[in-house]
Amino acid sequence: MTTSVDERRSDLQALVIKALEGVLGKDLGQATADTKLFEELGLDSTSVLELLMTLEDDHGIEVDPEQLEPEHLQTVGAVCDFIAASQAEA
Amino acid sequence: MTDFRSLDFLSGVRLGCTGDISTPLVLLGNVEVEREWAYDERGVPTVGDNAPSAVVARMDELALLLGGAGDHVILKTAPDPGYLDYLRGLGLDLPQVQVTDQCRPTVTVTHEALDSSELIGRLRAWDGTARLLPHGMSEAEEELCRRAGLPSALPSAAVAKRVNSKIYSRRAAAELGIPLAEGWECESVAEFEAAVEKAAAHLAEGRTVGVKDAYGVSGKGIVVADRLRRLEQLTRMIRRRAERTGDDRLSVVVEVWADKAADLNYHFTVGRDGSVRFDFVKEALTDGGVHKGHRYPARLTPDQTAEIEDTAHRIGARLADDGYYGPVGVDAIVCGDGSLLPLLEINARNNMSTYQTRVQEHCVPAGSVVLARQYDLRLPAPVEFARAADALGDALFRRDTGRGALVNNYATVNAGFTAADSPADGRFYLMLVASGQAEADALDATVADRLAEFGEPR
Repeated sequence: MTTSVDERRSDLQALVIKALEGVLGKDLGQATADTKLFEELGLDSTSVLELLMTLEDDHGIEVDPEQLEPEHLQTVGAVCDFIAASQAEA
Repeated sequence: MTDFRSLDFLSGVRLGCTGDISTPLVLLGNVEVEREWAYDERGVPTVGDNAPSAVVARMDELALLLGGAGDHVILKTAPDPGYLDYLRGLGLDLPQVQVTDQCRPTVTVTHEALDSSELIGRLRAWDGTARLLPHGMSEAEEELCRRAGLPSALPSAAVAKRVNSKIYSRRAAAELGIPLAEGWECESVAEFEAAVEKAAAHLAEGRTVGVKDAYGVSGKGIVVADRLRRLEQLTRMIRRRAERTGDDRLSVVVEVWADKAADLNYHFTVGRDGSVRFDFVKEALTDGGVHKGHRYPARLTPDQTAEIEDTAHRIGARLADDGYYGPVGVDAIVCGDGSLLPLLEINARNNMSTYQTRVQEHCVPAGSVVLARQYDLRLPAPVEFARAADALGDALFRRDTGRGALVNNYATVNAGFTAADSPADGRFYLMLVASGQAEADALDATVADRLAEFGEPR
């Protein structure tokens, strides 16, 4: 049975992947929670900043880049975890 | 004044920087030295790990092709034996390889050398005539010179850092009357906010604005804004950081993007006595602002070439006045109307093009068209040089024909493999030597196709 928590998580992951597609200019249809941002998608520190700005623009998700630690950027799922935790604190 | 005439590239550097054409050089490919210069500087907010990637850390092997038999090169591992055989087969005499004690994937060659007591012991035992010629001089290379008892061929890290700032580039261009992209240097948050206000008018006219770290690695540390909202977001991030740290220093430049037709990279050498030798100009191949390679000869008019050479001599003289000597590369652009912006940024260090010079002099026939480029692949397993050479087959460069794909770094191919069973990013660096553009393009397609047997192109 799908819970509302699962759905919210799935929605958030879809938002993050859509924002990544915009930043990287390519289709990420195969991306999952385990997809690695730097190794597999080729993200760099500058495009991470652009990702944060895109999330803020399109979805009102505001994240301070200086709060991000390397482990928050390991995978798509790790970014989602960080955003979810930030929103829970706000 | 230094007489550079009749000297090959490195002999000119040797004479210009050490005063003696017979000085042995210890080459060190500390690519992305900008990371050291940027330490403790406030640029565009950064996120993530600041260590170089495993692939970038193995660009140290580019330096293998810069020196000759009397020189040395410090590398993180011994090169693939098949690759060394291939290079010797091209008639190249190679520097003696000095390997660091270990090779950790994301540690730069300089820091690996600093942690190498055996290597440092070997260097200390030398007779003191050799000089260190790093990719660029930072405090880490100064420390290596001290510990290894190895004098430097380049001026101090403080001089190098100062003249490599994009703020220095813009101010030097303005003072020398060199055409400059519209923009502003920002050394505080208040100056940045004022620049954003001025940039807003250009954004309203449909122009694009870039915010660049003064000490950023080429093609990185840049935020591109095509609407004011982006600059407002960036301002907010920068202001928040200043409030949190109580430090409102900043080192960025804000520039209005010019209407660009082509990127250029030109290269000159400044001697200790202020002599300047113009080395070459190449077209720079970029993708989204990130360096992807070179094409030469550059397709310029005689007037454009003359303007580039004149600018090189003026910048060289200015760098000499400010205490710099050594190799210099400058990024420039040809605008849509054919005019030049001949000074976008000064890179007072080796450039990617620097490492092509010796191969160019020894192997590339006059009149050739050369595309120097990289092929990034996701590799499921390491690839020995012999396998890559087999796969490239008749596309591999041969000395007798003077045509084909010449491998000018191989360590980056297998750099990412830390665990044998997991895929890793690998990068092939090749110089495609052809009789014309169409042949170079066909060779490019052939090489891409043949390398794809090893992994998925990135």
